[in-house]
Amino acid sequence: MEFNSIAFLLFFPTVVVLYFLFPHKYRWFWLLVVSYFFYMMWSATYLVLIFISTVVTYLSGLLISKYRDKRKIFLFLSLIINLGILFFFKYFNFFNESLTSLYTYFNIDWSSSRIDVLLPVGISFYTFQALSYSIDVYRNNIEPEKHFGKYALFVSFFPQLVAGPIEKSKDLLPQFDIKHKFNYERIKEGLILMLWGFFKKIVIADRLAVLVNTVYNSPENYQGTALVIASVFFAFQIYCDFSSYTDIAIGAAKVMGFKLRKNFDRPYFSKSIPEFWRRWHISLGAWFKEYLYFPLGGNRKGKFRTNINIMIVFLVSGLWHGASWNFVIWGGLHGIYQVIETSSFTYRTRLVERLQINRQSVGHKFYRVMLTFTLVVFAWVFFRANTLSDSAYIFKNMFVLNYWTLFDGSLFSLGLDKNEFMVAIFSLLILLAYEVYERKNNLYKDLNSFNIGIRWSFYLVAIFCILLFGIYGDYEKSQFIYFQF
Amino acid sequence: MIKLILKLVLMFALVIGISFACSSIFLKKELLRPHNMYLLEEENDLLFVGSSHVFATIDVGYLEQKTDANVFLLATPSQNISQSYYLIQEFLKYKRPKILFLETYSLKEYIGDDFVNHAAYDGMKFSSNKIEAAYIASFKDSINDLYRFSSLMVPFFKYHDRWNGDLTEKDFKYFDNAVLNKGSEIPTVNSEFSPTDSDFIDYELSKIKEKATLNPDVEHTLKKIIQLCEANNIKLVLFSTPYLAHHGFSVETEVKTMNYLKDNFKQNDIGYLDFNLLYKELDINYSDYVDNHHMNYNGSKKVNSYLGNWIVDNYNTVLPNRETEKLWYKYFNNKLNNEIVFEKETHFKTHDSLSIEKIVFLKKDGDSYIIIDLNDDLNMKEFADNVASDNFRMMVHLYPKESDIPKIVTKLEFINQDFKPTIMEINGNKFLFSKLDIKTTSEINFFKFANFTFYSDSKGRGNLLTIYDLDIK
Repeated sequence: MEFNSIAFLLFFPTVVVLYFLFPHKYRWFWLLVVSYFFYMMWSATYLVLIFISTVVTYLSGLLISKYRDKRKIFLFLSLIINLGILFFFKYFNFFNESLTSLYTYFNIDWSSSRIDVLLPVGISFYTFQALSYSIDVYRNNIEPEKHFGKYALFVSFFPQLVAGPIEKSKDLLPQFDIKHKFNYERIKEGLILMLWGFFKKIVIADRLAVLVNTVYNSPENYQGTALVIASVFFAFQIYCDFSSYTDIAIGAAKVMGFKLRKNFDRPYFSKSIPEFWRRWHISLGAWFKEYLYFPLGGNRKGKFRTNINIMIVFLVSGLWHGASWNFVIWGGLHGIYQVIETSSFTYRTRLVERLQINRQSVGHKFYRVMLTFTLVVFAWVFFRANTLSDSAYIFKNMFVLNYWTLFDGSLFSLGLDKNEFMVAIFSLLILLAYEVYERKNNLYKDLNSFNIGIRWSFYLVAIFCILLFGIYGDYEKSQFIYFQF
Repeated sequence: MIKLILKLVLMFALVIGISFACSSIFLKKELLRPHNMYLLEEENDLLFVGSSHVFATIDVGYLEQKTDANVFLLATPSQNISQSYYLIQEFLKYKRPKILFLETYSLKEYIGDDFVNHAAYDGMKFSSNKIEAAYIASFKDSINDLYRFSSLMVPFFKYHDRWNGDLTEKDFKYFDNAVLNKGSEIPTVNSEFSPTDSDFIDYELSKIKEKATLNPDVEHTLKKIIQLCEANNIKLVLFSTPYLAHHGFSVETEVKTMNYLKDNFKQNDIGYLDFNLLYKELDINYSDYVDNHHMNYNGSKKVNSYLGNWIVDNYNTVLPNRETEKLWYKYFNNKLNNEIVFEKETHFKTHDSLSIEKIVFLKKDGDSYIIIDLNDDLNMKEFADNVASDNFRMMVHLYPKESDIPKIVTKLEFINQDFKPTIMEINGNKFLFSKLDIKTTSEINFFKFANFTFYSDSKGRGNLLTIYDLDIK
């Protein structure tokens, strides 16, 4: 079931009302049932995978805790089974094809076979969440959960099941034991966050997608401005798409009394690539930091090892996003950005001092934000392009000077006509204005200071903006991009 | 909790209410054919239900003149049997026809796609009947489409993207000024129709004795229609219009279906009329078609002539005689036949200027005002200099009272046109020249004569005369 479906608009209120009507001791069961139902709407078969992952990590937790001397074996088993499933469904064909290409290159005879399986929705998310539990128990950071039902709910909790945020067991599991009371203000806040998420997805992301798909699905037809605009639009599309899912997830959980971790913090206002990664997909970044970067030695083993570790983390992160060299390169590019940025810190500091640039000036901050954004957009090209050769073409042709196409009307032949383009730009301005506003304010609280007439008018206008300007209906059904990861 | 639920319910009601209200604006007005049933003030005697085959063939005007009965078409594109059933149910809330003609082409399927669903139900008022119809269209067979259901109930959800340059003044005022259209939309232009290998006239169809089996849902719904007719004392006639398609739900399948029906519903008092078996008798040929599914004006004349006689021969005792109610129309018809047609033919043939004087007699006979509509881009000068341009169509509205004119003019919505409606005085008579934004679709029911189509709305208020130069040989 997708958040941006009418089925969810019926499902969610039903879940919430019954959730609060059920006695506390049965609520976990209700949430488990509806979470499995939520996933079954995509694929009942693949529910088995979630269940296997749940059983394996649950048992590993108990066994690790009980047999501390053999804990490595149990952790290893948990890792191998979970990552094995992930590998089989997500990476088998990719590695097979890559090996075939390699062998072909060296003229070595190699017969490969393909597995025709669909990628289970959200497999990377729930696998990582379940693995973090095994590792935390192994590290003695948490006690194993005895209650299988509640643990199963931790792995499958529907708001964040298919696209995060990736929660840590110590944060989420205890919340299933708390009796969440019906809190009017909290529910309202959750619903408004969900509304904002729907706006970002249906009005912004899906509209930008029209132009992005037009250009990126046949980039050879475009040059210069069109490629730049499509790439910039994709940067906003993927942000709105992914962060909208997070908003809806956090909002939905909040309605029921659960607190999920923040996953995005205005990432395009970052002034450096490391800062960008502290603000983009925060829960994944934290996961890699805790379960990969630190075990590799982090930054404690000298500059060279630190850089190697950074590269490993980002290459793996790229691979986590998708079984394609495009994603690996995307991750690698971000790794290189980070390495260059950290390695050149001293030189850049000296240069700034020599040029007597005020680091606190608005101009300097703006320059850094724009530079970071530009680097991020470049990397997104690999993320979005259908093939490596498409990426190469785009890079080669995006610098072709044809700026007059901004004025001769050809801008409106990229899938969005003039009116649609204007709506896209205006909604992006709303997004940026909101993010600037949220930096020092809280829209929800400020909205509450107005009388009911203004508040309701605001809600109604927001709802009708989505209904009127949203991309839905006859258009091809638009999934959240991150579901495929 | 109660407070929040109440607020949410209120918010939900507001959103749905506003969306519902917006729907009337965003609806595609060309898909609102069934809405005409609500505008029908007169009693109904003959109701034709079916697909575009019906509205492209059945001539309301001709049949009304021939049978002296009131005729109405409840036809929508590719109408299927479930749509026919719910439309008939809705119609029966307001009118009780004497005879119901159900086209057997509608038996081709039980559930249609989005377009045909909206074409059938968008014009239907909100009711439990509509909810049921939308439910069947959205949740039957393998279809499980919540969006389809919600957009059938609240069409704003489907047409919301019409904000982008597709809305016109007509969309905002349509329902305030809706004009009855009794349903005929006979293609008047004889476009070049080149049949393919799978589109041919098969004169041997009557030799088919096989029977087609019906989908159980289709048959069940047909039985419900039969029961509905019996319960309401309505004579049911299952009929088909002639078409050429030999693929999909082919003309052969329809003949076989008709065989099945004749055999399986013997015990019911049902009439059968299969025009696909009458090609020879009616001398139907390729020039009678506009495409492989639809007849043109020539073909329609042949079918309606036969149909009119068939109705009179078989159902005269069932139908009331409304001759006296139609005297006013007949007066104009005679005038048109006897005094204008000939003159017009002459003028059109010579591409001479419009013989307005010949129309003016109508003004002289009464207090009517005459309005002439042009549906192409002729300006007034061109109009006067050379009337008969390619595909030219002229419409003349006659209004008994001057006070009716502005209302009617608004109703016809001359918008988005370079050519503004203009009132001119010629020989002491006032004319309003304008053009319509429709090509082959009538907005008002009409009477057809040789080269003329005489329109009138149910209130006898506005009357239109349409002259097609391509009809004039």
